[in-house]
Amino acid sequence: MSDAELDREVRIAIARSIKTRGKIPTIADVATDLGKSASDVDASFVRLIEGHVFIPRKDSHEIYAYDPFCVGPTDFFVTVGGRVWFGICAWDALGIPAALGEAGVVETHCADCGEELVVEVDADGATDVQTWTVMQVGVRPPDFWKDIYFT
Amino acid sequence: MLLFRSEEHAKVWRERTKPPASAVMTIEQATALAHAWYAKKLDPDWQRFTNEEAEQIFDELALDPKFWRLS
Repeated sequence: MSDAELDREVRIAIARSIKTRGKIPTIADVATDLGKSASDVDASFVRLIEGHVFIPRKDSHEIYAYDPFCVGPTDFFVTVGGRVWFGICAWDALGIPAALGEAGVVETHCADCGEELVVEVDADGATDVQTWTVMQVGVRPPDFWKDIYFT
Repeated sequence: MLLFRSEEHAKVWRERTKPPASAVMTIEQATALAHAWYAKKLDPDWQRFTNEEAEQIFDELALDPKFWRLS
């Protein structure tokens, strides 16, 4: 199996874990699921990190955010199908229902005044509540990955 | 990326924190952007968007090209 083929299998295993277990998997989880060695999966994780497929924890190759899903905790709670997820930011939080193909509810706070904000999102990405709410992006897209933890 | 209860609250926050750049969009634009960006993320054949594909999404949502241009 080539590196590209393994990386695809690893991505599929990560996605399957998220969809069926509601869990962002560890390297050990994926290795077990695929019947591969942890070192092979670790090497695949490194390639996926280099390809900006996911954001690693600062101290390892383990997943911090398989965007839009973050291991959390963060200030963006997302409830979809009875499961609670974390988004690393507003964009990701709003994308979790889309990634799961279901409607969801995003709960966070106004970054200025701290007031609770609740946004209901349909499976197709539409929302018809909280129409006064706005999303602020503080980094230009070409610079997103220069310091992804700040972004 | 943060949410604010209104554009006025976003403006107050910008004046206080002075982010390196700034763009504000409505929640409808934000949810549509998030859907376009992530709807296929868990699909087996998912691939990162090219710059051209990403810019097409931004353009379709009428986002300011001065801020969102990638190239």
